[in-house]
Amino acid sequence: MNEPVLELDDIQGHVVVGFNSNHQCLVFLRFGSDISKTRALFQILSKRVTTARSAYLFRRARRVLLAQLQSEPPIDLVGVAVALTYPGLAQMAPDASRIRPCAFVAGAAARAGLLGDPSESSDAGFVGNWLYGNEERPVDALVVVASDDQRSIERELGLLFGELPVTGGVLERFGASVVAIEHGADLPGDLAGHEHFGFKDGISQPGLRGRVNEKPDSFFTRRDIAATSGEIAQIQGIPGQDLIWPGEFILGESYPEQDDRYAALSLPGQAPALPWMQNGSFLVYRRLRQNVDGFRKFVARVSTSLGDEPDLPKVSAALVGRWPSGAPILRAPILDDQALAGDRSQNNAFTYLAAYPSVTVNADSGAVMVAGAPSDSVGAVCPHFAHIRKVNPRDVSTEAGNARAHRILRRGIPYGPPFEEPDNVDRGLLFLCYQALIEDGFETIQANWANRTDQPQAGGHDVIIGQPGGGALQTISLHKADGTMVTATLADRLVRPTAAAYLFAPSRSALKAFAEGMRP
Amino acid sequence: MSILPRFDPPANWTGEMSVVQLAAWSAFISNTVDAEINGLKGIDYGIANPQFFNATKVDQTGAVTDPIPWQGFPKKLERAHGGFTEAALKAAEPSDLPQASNRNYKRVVRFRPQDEYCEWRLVANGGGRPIKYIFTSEPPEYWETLAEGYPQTYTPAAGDPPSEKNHALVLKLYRELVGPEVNSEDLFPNGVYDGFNRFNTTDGIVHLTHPANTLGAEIDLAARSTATYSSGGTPITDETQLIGCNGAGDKDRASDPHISQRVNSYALDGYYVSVLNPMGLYITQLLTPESITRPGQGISRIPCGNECWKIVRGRVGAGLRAEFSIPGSLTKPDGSQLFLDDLQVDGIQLRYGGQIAKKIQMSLTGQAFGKGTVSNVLRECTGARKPKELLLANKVLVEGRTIPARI
Repeated sequence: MNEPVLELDDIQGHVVVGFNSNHQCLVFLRFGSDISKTRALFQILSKRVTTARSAYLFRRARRVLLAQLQSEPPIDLVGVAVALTYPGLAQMAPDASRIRPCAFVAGAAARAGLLGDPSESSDAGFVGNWLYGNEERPVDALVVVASDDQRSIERELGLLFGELPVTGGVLERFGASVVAIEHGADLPGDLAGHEHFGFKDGISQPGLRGRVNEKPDSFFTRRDIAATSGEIAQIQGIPGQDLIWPGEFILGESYPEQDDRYAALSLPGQAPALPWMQNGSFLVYRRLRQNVDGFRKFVARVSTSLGDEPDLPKVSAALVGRWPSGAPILRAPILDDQALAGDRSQNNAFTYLAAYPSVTVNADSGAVMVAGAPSDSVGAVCPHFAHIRKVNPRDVSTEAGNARAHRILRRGIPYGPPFEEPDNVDRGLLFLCYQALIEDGFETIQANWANRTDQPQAGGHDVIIGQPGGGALQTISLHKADGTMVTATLADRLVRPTAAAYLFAPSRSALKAFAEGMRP
Repeated sequence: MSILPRFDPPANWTGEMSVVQLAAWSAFISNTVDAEINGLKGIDYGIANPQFFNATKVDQTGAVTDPIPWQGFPKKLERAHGGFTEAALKAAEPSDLPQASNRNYKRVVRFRPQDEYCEWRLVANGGGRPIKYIFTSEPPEYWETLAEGYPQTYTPAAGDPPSEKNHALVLKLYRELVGPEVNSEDLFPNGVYDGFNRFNTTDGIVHLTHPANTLGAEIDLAARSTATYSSGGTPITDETQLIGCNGAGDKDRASDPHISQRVNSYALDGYYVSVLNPMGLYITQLLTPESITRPGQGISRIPCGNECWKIVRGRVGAGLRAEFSIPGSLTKPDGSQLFLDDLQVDGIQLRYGGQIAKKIQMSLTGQAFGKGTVSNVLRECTGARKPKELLLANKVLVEGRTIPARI
C-alpha cells in the first residue's frame, strides 16, 4: 500500500514532530460564560499554532546544520500547540456531543480507577486532591508554548494572550481563567535529556509512516535501513524504530491504521466522528510526581536482597531496561556503554522474542553495519518487568494483540529541580502523549501492561510508572546469581499523578472553525 | 517422577461428576491429546517427535507454568466495527441470536456471537431494566459428559471407561442457574442432551455455545502451536505469521494468535508443551471495583467489588461462571433500586455486557518441561496453512458471512 500524503499544513507540529525544546510552558485554561470572547483567542491560536510542516522543516534544517557544524546549531523553534478537553470542545463545537462515549468524553478523572491511580482520599495522587483536572478544578483547554529560550516563551505567551498569564489569573479579553501553569525544563548539566530517576528519556519513538508530498519516496520518517538488510527495512526506519501507520496517531479516513496482527500491514483509515476532527489527535496529559528518594531506596533494597556485592546501577538498569545513558541492557548486559547510547543506529536495535538481525544503515556519514542482538524471550537479560519492555513490548504477543498497534507519540518533559538529597520538593514529569484512540494507546500501556504483573509477560509490575490501585503492593521477580528467584515488593508507588487531562488537539482548520463559531 | 494420575474437569469442579464420569472425562482429555500428538506426526505436519505431551503418560518433573491471558470481548467484532465501538458492543449482543450449521453437531443451531471463550447474557427484570450480567466460560463438553457420559463430539475408544448419564442432575443445575421454568423436554429432546436448548441460548445461559468455544478447540490450538516454522531460515515468531503457518486458529481473535505464539515460544526453546491440568478456559480477572462509579457523583465510587461479583461456578482466579449484579443493600440516595444502567464503567454508562467483558481477563495456563531437549527442524512456512480438517470442514455461516470455525 502506498503511504498517504500527510496534511502537514493542517496537523499540529506537536503531534507528529514534537518540539524537543529545553523549555515548555503549559497553560491550562477554563472558559467563562461568554464563549464569543474565547473564540478570539482561538483566532490567534489558529494563526500561531505550529503546523507539522513547520516543525518538520525545522527538524530537517536542524539536522543539516548539526551535520555541518558537528555541534548544537544555534537555531530555535518557538512551538505552539493547543488542545481541548471534552467540556472545552463541547463549548467550541456544539456538535461534539455526537462523539460516542469513550475515554476522552469520560475524561481523565473518570478513568483514574481504570488506571490504578491512588484511591485513598489522603493520597496526593487521589483524584480529589489533584492540583487540577478534576471536578473541583476543571480544565477546558491546554496551550503549550515551547522554546530553547525561556524569554522566547514569555514573548510568545504575550503574543497569544496579550499579557503574561499567571496561575489563578483571569484573561479578561478572552473570557477565560488560568487554572494552572506548568514549567517544564530539560534537566541541567549531565542530566540533560534525562528524567529525574536519572535515565535518558525519549529514545524509542515510533516512526510515522506517510509522505510529505506526492513524490513516492518523500517519507516523513527517514528509511535508513538498507534494502539489502531484508524485511526489516520495510518495517523500521532506523533499527528498532517501528514504522507505524498514521491512523494510529492522527484521525482521518485517508490515514491507514496499523493492523494489530502484523507490523507491516495496515487497515483502511476511518472517518472521524465529526468532519472537523480530521487531522486531529488525542492527547493524554499526566502530571507525574516522581519519588526519586523512594526509587533509590528501592533499588538499594532489591540489590541487597539479591545478595553478593550490591550492584545498584545494574538493578536500576534492570528496572528500566536501559542504563542511565540510554544504552539498552539487551545490547549492553554488563556495563553502561556511552558510545552505544549515543549511536541512534544501535541504541534501539533489539527485539525480545526473535533475535534482532544484522543490518546495514545508511547514516549521514555513510553506510554502517549494525550487528544483531540476541533474543530474550524469557527475560533473562531484560526482565519482563523492565519499564521499556512493559510499555513497548515490540515483538511480544500481548493479550491486546500486536503491540505495534498500541504505540504512542511521547512529548513529555521534566518539571522541578534535580534531586540532590532527600527533600520534599515537587519534581517529576509532565507526561504528554498523542494517539488516535486513548483506550488503545496510553490506557492499554498503563492499565494492561505497566500495572499488571502478568502482562504482556509474567514477571512483575513496571515499578517505574506502575499504578497498583488502592493500597496494593507492586512486585518484581528477579533471578539471584545462584539461579533462584527472589521477589521484591514495593509498598508505595514511585510515581503518582497530581493532575491529568484527556484532550483533543484539533487541526489548524478546526481551530479556525472554532474561532469563527460553529453552528450547533 | 511427576506423572498426572488423571485429567480433572475444569477448575477441579468435581462435586458434580460421579466417579465413573470423572474417569470418562479423563479418558476423553487423554485421548484427545493423543489424537493431537498423532495428528502432528501425520501427513499435515510430519513431525517425528511432537512437542505436545500427555501429562498422564509423560514425566514432567520440573515443568514450568505460564498463564496466557486474553480479553473476554471478541476482537473479531472490534475489527469489523472500527474498534471497541458501540456498533461492536451491539453486534456482540444481538436481540436475535444468529443461527448456523454446526458441523460438529451436524445441524443448524443458535449460538452467541461471542468467540473468545467468554459468553454472556443480560438478565432484566419484568420492567425491562437490567439487573444482572451472567458470564460463562464452561465448555459444552463438560455438560455433555455430565448428561450423557461423554462429550457428544467424542467417540469413545475401545477400553475407555463406561459412560454414565445423569439427566436429573443436569435438570437440577439448569433450574438453579436459569430458573424453575426449565423443563426436561427442552433439555433432552429425543432423550439426549441438547446444549443449544433454549435455556442455554435464547432464554438463558449455562455454558458456551459458539462453535469455536470448545475445550477441544483449545487443545487443538495448543497442540498445533507446538509446530515451529521459519521464513528464510529465521524462526517465525510474529503471531499472525505464525497462525497463518500452523493453521491453529483464527488470526482475527484476541485469544488464538496470542495463545499460539506463547505456546510456540516454548516449542522454539526446545520444550515439551501442554495445557496445565485441569484444562479449561478460565475467567481469571473481573472488572475491578475501582472502575465502577455512579454518574452524577463525580469520582465517587460505589462499594461494588465482591458485593457485585459472584463466582457461581469455579473459583476466584479460575472462574467458570460469574455474575455481576447490584446487591439490594446498595440503593440510590432516595432509597430506590439501583439498576445496572445507573452505573458507569470507567466513566461511561453501563449499557452493554461487552463493556464488562472487555475488562474480563480470560486465561489458560501453559505447561512446559525439558528446555532444549527436543529440536525439531523448523518447517519452512510457505504461506497460509489451511489444514483440510480445520478450515474446509468447519465453515459456518454467520449472518450471511462465511467465517472459519475452529473445531
